[in-house]
Amino acid sequence: MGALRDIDLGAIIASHGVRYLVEFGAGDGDDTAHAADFPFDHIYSIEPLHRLAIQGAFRHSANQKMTFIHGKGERGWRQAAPEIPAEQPVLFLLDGASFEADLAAILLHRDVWRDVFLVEDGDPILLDRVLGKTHRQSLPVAGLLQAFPVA
Amino acid sequence: MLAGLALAANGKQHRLTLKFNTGAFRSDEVFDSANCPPARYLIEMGRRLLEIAPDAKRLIIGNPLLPLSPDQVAGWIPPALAAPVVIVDSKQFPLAYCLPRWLVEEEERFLLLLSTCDAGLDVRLLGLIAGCEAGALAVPKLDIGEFPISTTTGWFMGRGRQEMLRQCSSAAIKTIQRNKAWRSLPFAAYLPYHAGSLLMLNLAARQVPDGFFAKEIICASYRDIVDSCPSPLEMVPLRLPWLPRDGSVGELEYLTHALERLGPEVRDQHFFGFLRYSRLYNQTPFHLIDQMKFALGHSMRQETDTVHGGQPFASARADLPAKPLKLLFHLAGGWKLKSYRADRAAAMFMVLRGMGCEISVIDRPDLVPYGARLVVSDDTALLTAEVRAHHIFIGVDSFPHHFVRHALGWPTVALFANTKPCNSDAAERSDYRAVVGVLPCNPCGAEKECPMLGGEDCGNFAPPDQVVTAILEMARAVYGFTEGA
Repeated sequence: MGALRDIDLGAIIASHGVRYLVEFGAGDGDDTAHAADFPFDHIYSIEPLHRLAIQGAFRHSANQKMTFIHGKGERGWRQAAPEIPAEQPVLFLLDGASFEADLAAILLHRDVWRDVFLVEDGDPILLDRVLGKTHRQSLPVAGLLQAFPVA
Repeated sequence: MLAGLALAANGKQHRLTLKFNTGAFRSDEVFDSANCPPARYLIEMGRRLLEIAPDAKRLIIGNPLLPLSPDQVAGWIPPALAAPVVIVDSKQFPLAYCLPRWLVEEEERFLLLLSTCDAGLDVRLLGLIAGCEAGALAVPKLDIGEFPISTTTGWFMGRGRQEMLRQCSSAAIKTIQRNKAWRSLPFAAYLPYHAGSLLMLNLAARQVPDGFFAKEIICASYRDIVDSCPSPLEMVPLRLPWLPRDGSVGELEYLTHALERLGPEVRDQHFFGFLRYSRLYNQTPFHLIDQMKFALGHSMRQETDTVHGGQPFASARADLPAKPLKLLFHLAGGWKLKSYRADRAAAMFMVLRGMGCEISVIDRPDLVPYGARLVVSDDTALLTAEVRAHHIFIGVDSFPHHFVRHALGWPTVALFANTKPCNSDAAERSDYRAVVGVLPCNPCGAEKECPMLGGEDCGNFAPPDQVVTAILEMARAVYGFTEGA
């Protein structure tokens, strides 16, 4: 990843009131490090590769507002989901390669109608099929699909 | 060997030597635990000295890391002072601790925080605990030299471990300095990563109600284990991924980040007891649960205190008709060498299916072509549900086996190979069998590759026919199963 730097996170936070960032496929935490400068209540980085997850976690171990979770999609998300209030909008950052499975995992534990989605190298048709009833897509920025809540 | 002596007011000495227990539980032996910090032995020696010398005023206890005799220790008796004294060599390595009786009797748990490898830290810590200035007394012309990185017996695992003990002692000093009411602060057991270790800690803690610890530092991702196998120790979640097994991260580095991650509120309000291995856990004949009980404060003086001499933690069985016999296999351990070979598993499945048995297998998709139903069980609730839907669990030396047997009490056949069964099995009963090969290289201590023959398979698993026999014997004994139609 690393594409988050080209996104106006401040504007998304202001417009949609997102207080939490959940990143699937966090790598060693580049995007997370960038997002740490914004006023999120908490940032969750879910990374399936153990080596990368621990690197990211060590890099940010003193920051209590960031949590690195080692796990694939649903197993990782299962650890974060109970800590996020249902009424607080979330910004999800997904990777196109595993986006469909990760989104399915998210929907198992959360009603996402308030949430914002950024998908790197994702398929817009697939995104519309899953979120079309509750979200509208805007033009991609820096390779990131963007889906915002309709309501 | 541990050495100590008690000094009475009239100058009379009581000398004591304790040898490591290898299973006989003699009166001059001390329980052998790799899971406790070395200072735990200092406490145990203190308890035993006060038993043989109830009138003692001072105790002099040799550093448990060093092979000392009571005669050596007797040659280092410092002047009669009320304050604690650390006897040191020329390089300030602690040789022995001279402690006033009350310190051992009344403040025993704080002795667990001694590093036993840094006299400077230990003098400061003892001074704070005793509320007076502690002293250091050098032994002339004695230098123990460079402490070995490790020994062939795994007696002590080197400089990295010493540094970890120093970190815990340093953290304790800071905690005392920052809290007026430090004597009432809780002790937290540091054993954060590896599911099996956490499970055994929780089981051990149930049997040590008055131990040193009130809390446990556990990776947050293991919350489900704590829910499924509760402990009297309160969980302090550590929000870090658990330690990778590939060696890419050292335990010392992990501890440093763990203390940082816990944050100042947790760090300054707890004392941390280092319960990771200080030595090789498989040099002792005792179960890991027993090794942890000793670390938590139990003296472990008789066989009935142990897993093999006591009652099971739980006992249950399937509420299912005896046929078809439903078998749940877990054949992939955390190490490559703990995994059962696919061709051998296939042979087992063929025979069992021929008898009408239904086979399920956890996390081994490669065994599906041999007639097994694939089960995913990445948390303990899912695992529990699957176990309850089967008559017998058959598993390698890994978390599911320990959980199924000790937490659920389910009929279990355990498959050991390159690890010693006695360190992590259960007491042999009609509903528990541990099967293992007969190769003399067990335990080899290897994880990824056979050190003798190479390759990722261990040749010391019991062959399929022995495993099938064990399963059928258990099915007959527990469920009244018969092979005939």
